[in-house]
Amino acid sequence: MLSRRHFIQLGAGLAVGVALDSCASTRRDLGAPAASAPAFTPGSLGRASVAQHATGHVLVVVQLNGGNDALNTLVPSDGRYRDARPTLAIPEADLVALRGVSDWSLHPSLAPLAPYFAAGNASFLPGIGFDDPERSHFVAMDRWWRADAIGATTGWLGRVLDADATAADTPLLATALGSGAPQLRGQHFQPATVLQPSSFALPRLLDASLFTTAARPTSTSALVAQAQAAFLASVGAVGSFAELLGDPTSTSTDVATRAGGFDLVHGLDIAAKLAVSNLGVRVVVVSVGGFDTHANQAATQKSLLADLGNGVDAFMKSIAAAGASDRVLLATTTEFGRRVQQNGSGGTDHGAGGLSMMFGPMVAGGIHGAVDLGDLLDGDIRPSLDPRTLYTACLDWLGAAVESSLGKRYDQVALLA
Amino acid sequence: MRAVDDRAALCWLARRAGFGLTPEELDAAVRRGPQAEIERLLSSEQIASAVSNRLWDDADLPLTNKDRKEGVAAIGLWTTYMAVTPTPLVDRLAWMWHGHFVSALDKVKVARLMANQIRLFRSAGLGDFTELLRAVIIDPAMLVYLDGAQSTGTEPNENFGRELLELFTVGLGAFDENDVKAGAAALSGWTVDRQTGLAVFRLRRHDDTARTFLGREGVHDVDTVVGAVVGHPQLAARIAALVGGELLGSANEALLAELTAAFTANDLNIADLVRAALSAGVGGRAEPVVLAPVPWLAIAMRLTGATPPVGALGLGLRTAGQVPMLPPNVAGWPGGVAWFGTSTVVARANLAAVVANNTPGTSTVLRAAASNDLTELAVALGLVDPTFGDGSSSALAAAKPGVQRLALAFCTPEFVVA
Repeated sequence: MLSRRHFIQLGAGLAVGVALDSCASTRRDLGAPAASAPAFTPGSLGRASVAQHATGHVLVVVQLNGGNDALNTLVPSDGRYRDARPTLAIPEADLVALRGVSDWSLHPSLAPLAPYFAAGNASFLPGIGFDDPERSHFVAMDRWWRADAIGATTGWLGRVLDADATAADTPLLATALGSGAPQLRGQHFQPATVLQPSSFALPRLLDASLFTTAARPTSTSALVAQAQAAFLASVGAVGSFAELLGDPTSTSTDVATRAGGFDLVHGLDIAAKLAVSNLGVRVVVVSVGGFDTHANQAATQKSLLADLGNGVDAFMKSIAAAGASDRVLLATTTEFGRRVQQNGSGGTDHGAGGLSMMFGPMVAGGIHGAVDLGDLLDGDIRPSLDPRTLYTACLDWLGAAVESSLGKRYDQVALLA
Repeated sequence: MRAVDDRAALCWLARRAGFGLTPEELDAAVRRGPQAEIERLLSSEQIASAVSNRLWDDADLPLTNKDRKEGVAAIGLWTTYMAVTPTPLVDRLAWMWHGHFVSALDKVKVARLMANQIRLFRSAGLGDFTELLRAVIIDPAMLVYLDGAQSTGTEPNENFGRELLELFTVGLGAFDENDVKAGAAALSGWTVDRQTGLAVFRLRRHDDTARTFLGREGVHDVDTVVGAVVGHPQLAARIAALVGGELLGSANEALLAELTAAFTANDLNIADLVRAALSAGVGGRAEPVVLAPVPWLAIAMRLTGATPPVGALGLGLRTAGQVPMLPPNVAGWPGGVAWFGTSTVVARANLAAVVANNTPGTSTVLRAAASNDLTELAVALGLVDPTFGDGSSSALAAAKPGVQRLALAFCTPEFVVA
């Protein structure tokens, strides 16, 4: 019988996901426990039972770091767009049409996403951004992850994860893949951060029990106590990750490794496995960078958006194959949109209003938000949709108390069906 | 009594102003005493010695080559050099400037340009700040990384102009959008000659219009931009806070004022600022900090004399979230308790295992780990306070004496927090 690791070594992607999920279903039908992760024998199918379908709602956030250029992603038919971008506008012949929409089209790399829109399972939010924007990456990112609560040390999701009673027993309750995710940071709550899933495992030389021993008793030094808490969180996360993805192979250099690099296709493949597992996962943030396209934007953004389009498409198919479509909402965020006028380097500088996307059968499909190229804010798209509107929908989806994160509801636009 | 205090001071100095010292090196430093050691580390002999070693052989880093292989080798060489450098303060400061004046190989692509930028930080990183800033502005890797190389007078690119002010110098609140534009225009025309890898100034790509920049009129070129930046009332305190934060953890208002005064006393001399910070540190005025993965790894390698395979180090550092020459964005690496993230904890365990497994049997530190005296181990590791807390002690006692105990010791909070 093929082991789970063997499946993974065959390659990442949909076929593998489906194969694993079918194993999981078989296993569930045989009556394996669903509520908690069972002990597993390396190489056996036993661990596949963690891929059984859980029941709660899950949110997956895809963070596009650097400020994705909104106008070349969801392209307006407004002629002023082409005037502002003499060499950077997407040629009309290459645009991907959106069913029932005449004033917007998609970048060709996002063609895999058009069918979701046509089916009413995708929405696009042009012009999203906070009022009074600044063009700093860091100010913009801070406002996004804090939900504009300047000075707050907690993120908009961390504030509700603080209240989650399962946090202590659920190491992967909120998981950041690819880079840290400050939006998950709570007063007490700390997310699991997995920068490289391929090497997220302890070495043979040091087993988990040494770290759990070192974590007790808690030191009176605050920094040492934090380090001890990090031992427990890390050992838990490594254990859950191994249940999900199998043990890594130990290499001759003694760093544990699994197959796979990190891009959105790979990150979202793992996010899908997390979302349909019974590991108690509620939130996954998958981050990729490279969107700060000040120069030579056309080629760079083309490949970045291909990764996004293919990644989201494969993710949605994996979730559907697991029968979990009704449970999993995916949303994309980025710090800002870019300047309307292209610059002299074949790129675009920092701007204001951006673009978010939502996927899943629970979304109110369509275009929500507006961009008026005749009414710019110092050359930038004027923000017309508060990001907290998106957050309200996401928090509602999680069944979380919106007010405790955002102070109040921002539901002037209903983004969930 | 003095000897005990001096040892603690020099343990602190070794871990925070360098990349650790072997027990034998530490003994020699203790004999010299803290102030003499600080002066030795800052001496012109140290700087001359550092400059005379160019680290990379240019023949290994052809300008035409954008291969990943060259980049990995360039990163590996620098990482392993930190563990053996005879000029630890020079290299520690070069590492700090790399995290401040950020460029990254994934965008710069040509490893030689990154190596040249690190060479600049090694040669000018303890000198005159004005000269360092001027060199950074027209550094080829920087011109590529923040798009200055593509910025022209008719179509200025704002990327460098913004980060120069926001991240590198005066900070948010000290400038507005007009300053970003004026700076970009004044610096236009500087680009990189791909044949030589050097910065060149192309007059026809330059906008020489005199503009107001940071409140100063007549700014139109590199020198007037540099003049306005270093003349800004917030500049000295910002750089003092950077150095104070890096070397002392955090600096309170009084200490920051002292550092700023030391920095401005001699026209922004970086060595004066560093001397003031280190003197405060050996005087017990530093806060504890979480060592970032790279300095932490370099300390572990220096202590043990381990020379592990570079590939294993690269993989571990990637998982830890800190690969030299590959900072995550223009703000550099997040610091402090961000290094308690799960990925970093797991990566430290893997890297610690790699180092311990590659430690020569003759190592004093390994012998200490093989003994049953944990205090001996703490002393050999150069801990400022040579004791382990209760949690670490029980785990170290449970670990197998020798390689396993040594690897675990590198992961303990006592070793990770300096």
